[in-house]
Amino acid sequence: MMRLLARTRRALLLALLTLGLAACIGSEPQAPQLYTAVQGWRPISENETWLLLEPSSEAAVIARLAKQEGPRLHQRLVLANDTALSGENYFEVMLSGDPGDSTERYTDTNFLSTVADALPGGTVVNGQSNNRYGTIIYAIAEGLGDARCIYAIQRLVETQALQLPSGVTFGTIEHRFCGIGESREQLVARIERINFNPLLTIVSGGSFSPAF
Amino acid sequence: MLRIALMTLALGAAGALAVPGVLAQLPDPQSSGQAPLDDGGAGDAAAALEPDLTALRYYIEIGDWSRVEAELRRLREEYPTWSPPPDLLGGEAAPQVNVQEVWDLFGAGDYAGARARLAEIEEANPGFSPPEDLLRELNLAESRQRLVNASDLEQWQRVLDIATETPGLLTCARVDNVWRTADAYAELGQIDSAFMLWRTVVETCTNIEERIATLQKANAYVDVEQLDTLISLALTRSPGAEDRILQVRDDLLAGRGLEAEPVDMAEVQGESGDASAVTLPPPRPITQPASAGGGGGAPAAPAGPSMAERAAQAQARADYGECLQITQSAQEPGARLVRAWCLFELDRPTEANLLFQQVIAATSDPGIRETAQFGEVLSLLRSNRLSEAGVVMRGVSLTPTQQRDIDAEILAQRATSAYAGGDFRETIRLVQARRELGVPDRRDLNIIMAWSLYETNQLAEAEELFRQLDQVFSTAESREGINVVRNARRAPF
Repeated sequence: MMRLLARTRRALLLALLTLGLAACIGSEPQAPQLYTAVQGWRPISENETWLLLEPSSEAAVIARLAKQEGPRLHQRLVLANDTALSGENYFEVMLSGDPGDSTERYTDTNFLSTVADALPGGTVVNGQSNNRYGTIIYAIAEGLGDARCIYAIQRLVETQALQLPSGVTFGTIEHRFCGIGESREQLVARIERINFNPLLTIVSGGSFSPAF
Repeated sequence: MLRIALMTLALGAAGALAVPGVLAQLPDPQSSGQAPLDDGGAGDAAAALEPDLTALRYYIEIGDWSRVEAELRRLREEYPTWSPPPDLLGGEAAPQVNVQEVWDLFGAGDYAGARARLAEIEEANPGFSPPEDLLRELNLAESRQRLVNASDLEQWQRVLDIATETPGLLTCARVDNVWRTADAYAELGQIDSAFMLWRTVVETCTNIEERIATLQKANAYVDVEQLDTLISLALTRSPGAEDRILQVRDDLLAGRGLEAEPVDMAEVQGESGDASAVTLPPPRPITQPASAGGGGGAPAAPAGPSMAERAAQAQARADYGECLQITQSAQEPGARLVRAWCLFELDRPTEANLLFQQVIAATSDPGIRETAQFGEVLSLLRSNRLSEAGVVMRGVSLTPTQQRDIDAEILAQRATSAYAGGDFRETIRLVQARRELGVPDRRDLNIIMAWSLYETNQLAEAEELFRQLDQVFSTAESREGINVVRNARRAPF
């Protein structure tokens, strides 16, 4: 049981560690021995982006990034942050083409553990909401001066309301945002009002088309 | 065994032990809790009388142990110098009770389970008295657990109550308890008491890593004078480690916007081992803003309290939030450069990267440009945008220190990537390679290193690393690591 718990925690640790990890290095400038086989993020254009945000949120996007890790594709939109708090504001979408991929299934316990790492402190209030893609679970941190933060996660599984791209077995949308003077409702609205439109399919052997 | 139990029962009625002061507990954990017993000023006349043991013998004979206990208490009160005679039990052999199972539960950290099993054994073996060392260790472990919980919940007064009421809790062997207690004092505004604890650790405990960690923990609360008192004590008590301690001093002072004057090493080494402390020259204000990653430096601020200078001072104090507030409307490249470093330190590398790029585009100062280029590379690496970092690096001239910091960042990213991919041997290799660069350790990397050692069946090394991490800063993560590895080491396969 303890090993299972430890593995669950490590899966979460991995998720956190890899939140910023990314695409292939194309060149080997000054220290080539260090650059071999490293995966990392690479910039993408607006046209390649799966998430369309509300205009005010779109205007705050400062970077659009993507990476592939095995059977998983990730896209990350980094948003401006007008607070003096630590941590970036972002939306991150992950789509998996692996039928056996079942990690990051959130429970009360590991969601709270993730929240503790994602938010910069304060008093945390948990909540639940919906959008057209299903249920959103979130936590809002308050008591951070005039700032307020949200960490939200939505698990994407195929339902009558949501058709995932061909070959995609499941996905997640993760959102973290800290802002000044934002109400709880405004924070939740940012993820409630997303449009999700991944233009890709899995053609064979877990590879995605169009490829990154 | 039963005889010993009776003796213990009788002697135990003498009353509670005096609770020694918190500080007095620290140097000698073994002796604390064993205060000499007082006879309570019993009269000689009473001692001369022989008590009637008929009732006591009868209760023993019928096995009515609660009455045995009551009768012993009565006799002890009436005849303070009396002890149960050795033949009280008629030479009967004490039952043999195996408490290994309790020790096993204790070793697994299941203190409640150990208590429950102990109660079962006691119930099944009337007259059985648990081994004193088991009870002592169990009491200590439970108290430590309560102290850690109270500390984690920031119940500072509760931490102090537990520390004070539990002899043996604050020792060099359990230095994390001392740190938590000192933190509690400090959080309650009792800095002098906290300082005395830190000072006692530095003076008494011999582990150099713990001594250095104590300096770093105390730094959050003490003033410069108190910090230098601790450092000078550490210098005299740590022959052979003077360079490391002076480096720690440099780092801690830099965090306060101060720069250490050079210290005469011959003087320090001459005084090592001496009871007197080294006299350290007073630090002076930093004239160059500190840089993120330790490699680059923001440009010298102009004279006067400019925005860049105030921001750099906040940065040097590690108050990055204030640094951002100061530079909210910054236009001048120097101030924007400091802001970029503060964003970087706040784990906002994407924003930092954009600002570094803007500074590069806006400045004609080669010093600012070079530092911003270094920042641009480092922030791309921190964001794991490695291909972009590679492109930028082609056009950047880096100092050896900057190059080392960048190499270290790349190795860190590769290690986390290897770990994420389940390549634990590669993770270990990369973390070790990063260590060899001589850059400061990172706790997150050490955690994945420890789990990688565990995954590759290097259990002793994994446990040692988790233990080290737990000693520096005990968290649920480090404690869990220790438990998991210990269980694995005990497993038959």
